[in-house]
Amino acid sequence: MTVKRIISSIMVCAAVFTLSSCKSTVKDDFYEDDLPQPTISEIPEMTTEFTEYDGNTEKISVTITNNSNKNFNHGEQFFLQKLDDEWRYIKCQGPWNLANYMIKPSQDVITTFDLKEHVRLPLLPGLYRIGFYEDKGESTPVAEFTIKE
Amino acid sequence: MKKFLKKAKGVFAVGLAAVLLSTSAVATEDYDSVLPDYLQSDESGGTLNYNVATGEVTYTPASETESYSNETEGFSPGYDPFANEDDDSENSIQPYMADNRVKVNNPQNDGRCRNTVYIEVTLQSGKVISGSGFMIGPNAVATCGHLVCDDGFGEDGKSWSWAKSAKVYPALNTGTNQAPYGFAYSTNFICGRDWAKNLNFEDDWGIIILDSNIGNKVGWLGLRWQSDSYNGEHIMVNGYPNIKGNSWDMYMCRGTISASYPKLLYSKNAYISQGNSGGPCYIDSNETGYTAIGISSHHPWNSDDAVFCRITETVFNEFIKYRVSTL
Repeated sequence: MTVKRIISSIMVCAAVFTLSSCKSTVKDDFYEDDLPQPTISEIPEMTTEFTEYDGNTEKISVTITNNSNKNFNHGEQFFLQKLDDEWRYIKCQGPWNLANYMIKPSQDVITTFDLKEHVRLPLLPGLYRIGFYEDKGESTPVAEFTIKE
Repeated sequence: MKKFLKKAKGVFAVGLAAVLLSTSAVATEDYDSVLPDYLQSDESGGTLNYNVATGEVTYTPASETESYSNETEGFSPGYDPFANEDDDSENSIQPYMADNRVKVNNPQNDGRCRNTVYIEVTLQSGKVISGSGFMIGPNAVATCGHLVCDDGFGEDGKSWSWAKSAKVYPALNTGTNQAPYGFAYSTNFICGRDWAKNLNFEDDWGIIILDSNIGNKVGWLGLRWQSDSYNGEHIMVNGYPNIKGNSWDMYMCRGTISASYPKLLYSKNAYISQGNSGGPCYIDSNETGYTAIGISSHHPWNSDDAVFCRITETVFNEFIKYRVSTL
């Protein structure tokens, strides 16, 4: 009876450890490597609300300051990259609406990226940057943030 | 043995602790808590009408919407105030670009384009978004739901809200006659309750009621719904995509419907992009002329396919209500 209990305890422990290590298997399909690197622009400025987030954060808000003399336009679609040896794309999936978001010269706006809707969570710890996806190679501002351990 | 058992229990405890530690605290936003009272109940269907001036919202249950068609299809003819005049439609839509789009140089001279509108929407936060739409009556514009209310439309730039206001320009262009029919302002925003509550793209349709009968100057497209598939149907799509920072020129693209779902239509070869939201997806029918069957909505989760909110019987009936002026 006691031996049975020991064996079942060990089996439960093994299962528990296997489940808790599932995080590392997420990494295998975490990245999207087929896309060219984005063209980054310094203007407008984009900063995240906080510098550090939890890996399960569902939404990240950024302030965009258009300190240029022309409208800055962007779509809903965003990209997310994590810095390993180089910036690598995290898989982001639609659906994406097709509205055109305009930020006028000297205007500050808050935009919220819905990670829960488009990215598989949790994000692994590390340094990230987020920006607007441009399929025609146009430049985009990015905002950096850290996912804490 | 007891010692071993104690050790095993210890290992189990460590394992359990490891699991608990690896489950990070989830940062959640209680979406329901930011929705207004009229979206809190579990009812589905029906429409919401938001008065821009007063902020008052009126709900009309689905059961109170009149039907304007039979059980399998419905059609309402379009209106073209210039029907007896020549137009230069073929001259105005050349040449096609590599991505199957063409800039419409003089949309005011083309009966299928002059009723397409550019929409500039101001959100409660002061942020501006632009999109497209098409006249469906003297002072009513059909567009997508995500131009009239959405997450992020609130004053804080994050929460759900109705848009603050919209300015609508039929046939806007950057040629010599830039706003040939002037513009009109929104008085009401209308959308399905299912869009407002769930923000599901299957219900991504909206209506903007205007403060003038600008539609009488430009006309409107025919409207159609059918329960049969549209697969293989040749379509045209008008709208105001943002191209190199310019979102004030109309583009048309052609394609075919590749998949028909009860509330959505897909095309693999019609190219639409940011700014196209709300524009018409229409056919040139021998029987019904230029006839809208869908509304530009989104790209799906895994491709750049164009997805249109289908004009279903419900949407058709809502649109037909506004074939007459409400002013």
